[in-house]
Amino acid sequence: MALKIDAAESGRILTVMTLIIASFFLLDLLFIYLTRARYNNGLADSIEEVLNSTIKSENEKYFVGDRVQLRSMLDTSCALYKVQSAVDKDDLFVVVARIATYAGPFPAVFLYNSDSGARFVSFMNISNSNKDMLNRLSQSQLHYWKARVEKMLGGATWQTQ
Amino acid sequence: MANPITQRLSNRAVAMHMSVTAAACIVSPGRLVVAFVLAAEEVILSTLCALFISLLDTLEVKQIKESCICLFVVMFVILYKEILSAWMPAVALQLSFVLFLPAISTFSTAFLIDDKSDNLLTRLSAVIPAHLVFAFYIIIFCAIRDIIGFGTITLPKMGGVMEIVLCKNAPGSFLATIPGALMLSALILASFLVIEHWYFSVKGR
Repeated sequence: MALKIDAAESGRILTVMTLIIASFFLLDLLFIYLTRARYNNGLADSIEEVLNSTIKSENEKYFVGDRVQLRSMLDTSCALYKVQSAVDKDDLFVVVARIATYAGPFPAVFLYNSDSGARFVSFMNISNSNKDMLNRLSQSQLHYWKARVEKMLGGATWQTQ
Repeated sequence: MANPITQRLSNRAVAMHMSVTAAACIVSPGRLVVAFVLAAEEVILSTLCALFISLLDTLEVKQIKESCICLFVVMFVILYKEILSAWMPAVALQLSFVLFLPAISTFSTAFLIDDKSDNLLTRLSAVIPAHLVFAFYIIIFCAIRDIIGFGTITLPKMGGVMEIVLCKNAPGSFLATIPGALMLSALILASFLVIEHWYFSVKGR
């Protein structure tokens, strides 16, 4: 069925639609721009907290550095950062990936270096008392993501933000 | 007296809204902090959506009204996700697609509501209580899962999540899982039907 509208009405509709799209688009872009640095830094702090909760002494402390942008669609569900550690002098990276577990989506932290590959560290946003339960329930997903992280970083191209 | 909300929303809209809201509860992690995020989104989005529809009515936009509502809902969720990214980055990463589920339900109610002779106040008085009920349901549902399933209470804080551990071994860790959430949802629905049946049988005497 064809819509019967005159030229003035179609012009008005086009103007309203353009204004709505443009204003929403600009507002979203503005917020993305304003919050990006805060998101990257906040996530880095949370990752650092998770990594340092696994160490035995202060000398082993990890320092999460700049975010590295993955040139892949995975960048929407993962975040990759450079990491420095007093113990591990090699090029270290940390990946936090949103994993679909039996308890819903949870961010999982993996450490990666080119020699030893990827190693699962821990889940984020969950207390120590529940980590074991979530680890037991998510073994197959963790194996899958470990292999995926190794594949992703093994031949990936990235750029530091 | 008939419920004004159910009078104004078609059965299809109510069923769709209920199922999408329940779906958002089930697929999301059963944490109270997540419930607060989803409930706030539900109420803010539905209120802003009602205001936006009134703006479109004032501008006499009819042919592209549904497209504009859809666009508004999607753009709002992106905005909400960005604000959440700045406030609680790890929760924003964790929820991601789950944030779009209440948006679908809001769109369905906004689109299917009977609004032929509405002004702003009648629209808001119909929409907000319905969404407040669903927001309350999300909070209760996730609180049960958080306390019994995880043995914790999680609250939002700047930059992360504040977690109060109630017990180290959660008494019903099955409820923390998605099958457990489905079972809890069925139990709540069954309880509601039993109470409703009992109420009408007492009232009928």
